[in-house]
Amino acid sequence: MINAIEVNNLTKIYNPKSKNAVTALSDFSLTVEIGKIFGLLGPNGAGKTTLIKILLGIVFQNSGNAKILEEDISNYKVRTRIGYLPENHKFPNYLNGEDLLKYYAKLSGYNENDLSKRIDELLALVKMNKWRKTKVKKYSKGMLQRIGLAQALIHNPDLIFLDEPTDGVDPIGRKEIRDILISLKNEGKTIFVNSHLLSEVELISDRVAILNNGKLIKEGSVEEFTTQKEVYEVKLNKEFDSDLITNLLISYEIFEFKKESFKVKVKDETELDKITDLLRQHDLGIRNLNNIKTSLEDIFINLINKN
Amino acid sequence: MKTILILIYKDILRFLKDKPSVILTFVVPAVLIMIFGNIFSGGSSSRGKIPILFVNDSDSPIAEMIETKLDSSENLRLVKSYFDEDQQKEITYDEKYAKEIVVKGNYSAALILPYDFFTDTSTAIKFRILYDPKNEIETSLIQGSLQQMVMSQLPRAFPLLLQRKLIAELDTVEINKFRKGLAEAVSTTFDVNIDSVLSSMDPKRLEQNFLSDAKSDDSSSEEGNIIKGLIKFENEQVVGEEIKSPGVTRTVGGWAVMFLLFSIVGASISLFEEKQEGSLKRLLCSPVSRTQILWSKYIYTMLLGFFQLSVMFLFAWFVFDVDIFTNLGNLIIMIIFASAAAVSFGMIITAHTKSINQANGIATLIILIMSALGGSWFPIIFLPEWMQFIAKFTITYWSVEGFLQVLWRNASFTEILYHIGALGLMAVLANWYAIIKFKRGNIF
Repeated sequence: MINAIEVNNLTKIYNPKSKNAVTALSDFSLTVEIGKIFGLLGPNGAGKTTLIKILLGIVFQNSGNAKILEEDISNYKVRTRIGYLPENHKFPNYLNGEDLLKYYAKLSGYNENDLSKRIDELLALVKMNKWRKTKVKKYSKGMLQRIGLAQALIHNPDLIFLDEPTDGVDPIGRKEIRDILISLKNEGKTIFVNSHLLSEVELISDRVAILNNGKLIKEGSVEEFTTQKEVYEVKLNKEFDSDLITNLLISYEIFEFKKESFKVKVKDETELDKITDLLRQHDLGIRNLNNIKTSLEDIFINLINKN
Repeated sequence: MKTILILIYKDILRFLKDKPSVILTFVVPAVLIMIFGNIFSGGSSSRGKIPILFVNDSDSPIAEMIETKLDSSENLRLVKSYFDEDQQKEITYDEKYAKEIVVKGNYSAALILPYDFFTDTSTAIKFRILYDPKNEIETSLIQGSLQQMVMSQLPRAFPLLLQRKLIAELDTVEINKFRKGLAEAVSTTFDVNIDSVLSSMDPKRLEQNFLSDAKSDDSSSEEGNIIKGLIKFENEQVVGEEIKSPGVTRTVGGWAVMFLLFSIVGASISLFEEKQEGSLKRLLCSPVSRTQILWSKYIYTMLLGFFQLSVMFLFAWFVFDVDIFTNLGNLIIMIIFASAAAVSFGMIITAHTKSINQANGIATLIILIMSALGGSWFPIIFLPEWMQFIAKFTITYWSVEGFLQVLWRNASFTEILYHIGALGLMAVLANWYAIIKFKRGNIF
């Protein structure tokens, strides 16, 4: 399988010879598959921005190496295949939206003759057609994010880095941006998202990595992160009797008893089968059996606190 | 009151944290005061002596005495010979070669004591000054110093010269009659021996008296004024006589270079602005190498400098009639090299600082020092010799001198090779160093 990003043992120390040396990344490794949306999470100062800066050639690592689209990151020409929406970006404010896209298209090596058509498509996609002739300095924060997304996509890149893509965008705009990202993924693009809005990341990402103090704490699919396989909520069609309660409490890890429901922590699915058999023996019908999920935000906070 | 004190404390802390402001407030004035203090405090102890070429073609003992006096001048340093590489020996300047040297611009003036400086029949003492008024203040100082020296040393020559003048206009018989009559009148009136009065009027005795008095350094300004007409200064301007606006032609290069440095540094450190506003980050992650970013910045800034200098010289031509077209090719070459050096200076400032404020503060300090030392404001001849030595490491010095060569002296390409060579070398070294710093990650 081709990887969009391969990071091997990256270490970055700012001011390494100074007594105020700061280790931003420590022996960090990561792989991002092509055609996926990858979410990078971490508290402030975790090293997320440093990782993106290294991958994009803005700063240099002290040790380790990384590849983007199978090219070493030191080869700046690979950036013709990369789109980037920086956090808190400020574009040349003397340009209007259309000229801005032309400028970044040329800078990104977009040599197609259909640039005007491409600009029209992207301005329509991010719903900025109406303001294409308006100077960037007059744009609101939400409009800047939209035009920023358009400039990141202008040269039809294979890999797109988005740093806080929905920052300053209203809920409807956020939904629109999410839809754009999902459609890009469906086109086979790889998207690397760095965001504090965990709910956003949860909604769109295939895989997520959590970074803290320059180290990778956990990496996996969103499902793996948010599904607690061992906890189930059982809803019944009538109330329990007291014998059953006693039986369950003795044999299983039961909690949150209500009149017609309870939660149980099981070792495996066999144990869950035994519970359902027991309930049926007591003539209780199972109205609903749910594997309990926690939000990515809860997982994130727990992991960071533990770390 | 407590609130006011808290607010004052806040402002003091803010000021002290702002290092560029501290530099501009304290360091810049201190440095400039030191430079100006060295110039205006006077005396050779603080200011370097102005070197002038000296040729003594006279065999008169008075000429010898004048040379001795000038050797100990506080303001002037006589340069009498040069080392000839072919002959491997010191050769004394003659008038012709001295003139060539002044025309080339290596020295601002030559003082010639001609063969008829003071002969047995001279009715006036004759000096010839060959000068290049490339700098008005310097020329005035040289001429003033010479005249002051001569006037203070020659008052006793007055009676001798007066007698000679009378002899030249009357004849010896008439003069002897006049002298005898005068001696009789003095002898009768003051009751002195007539022979001693006549002896004191003897031309040879007068000459001896003049020499011994001059050596004793006894002078009188009143006598100096009387004698003025008996001393001839032949001033010959050997360069720039045809120039229509000498004042502006002399100074335009210096001012232009100073403003060039300010604007170029401003443009160079715009990398900081781009970094602050975030557009640099976006640029860096484009398929563009750092070298390409730096070269684009370098070429843009150099073009800006080229156009700025061109506009300044065109303005000087349009408003002050400064002739920029006679030697246009060399002027353009000088503009290119001065711009290149200025841009490299801007790059090195940017590479060595960490913020736009810091860059501005340090750049202002260095530009003002370079302008003062390098000759943008006044001729560096007024500076102590150690400062003149430092001046040769500044962009301003080589630019000002180069523009002066081109505009004032109508210099050829080979005559400005040193200047463009020095500027080119500075540009290459500074750029090379800045690029290494940038590639290692500074600013980015």
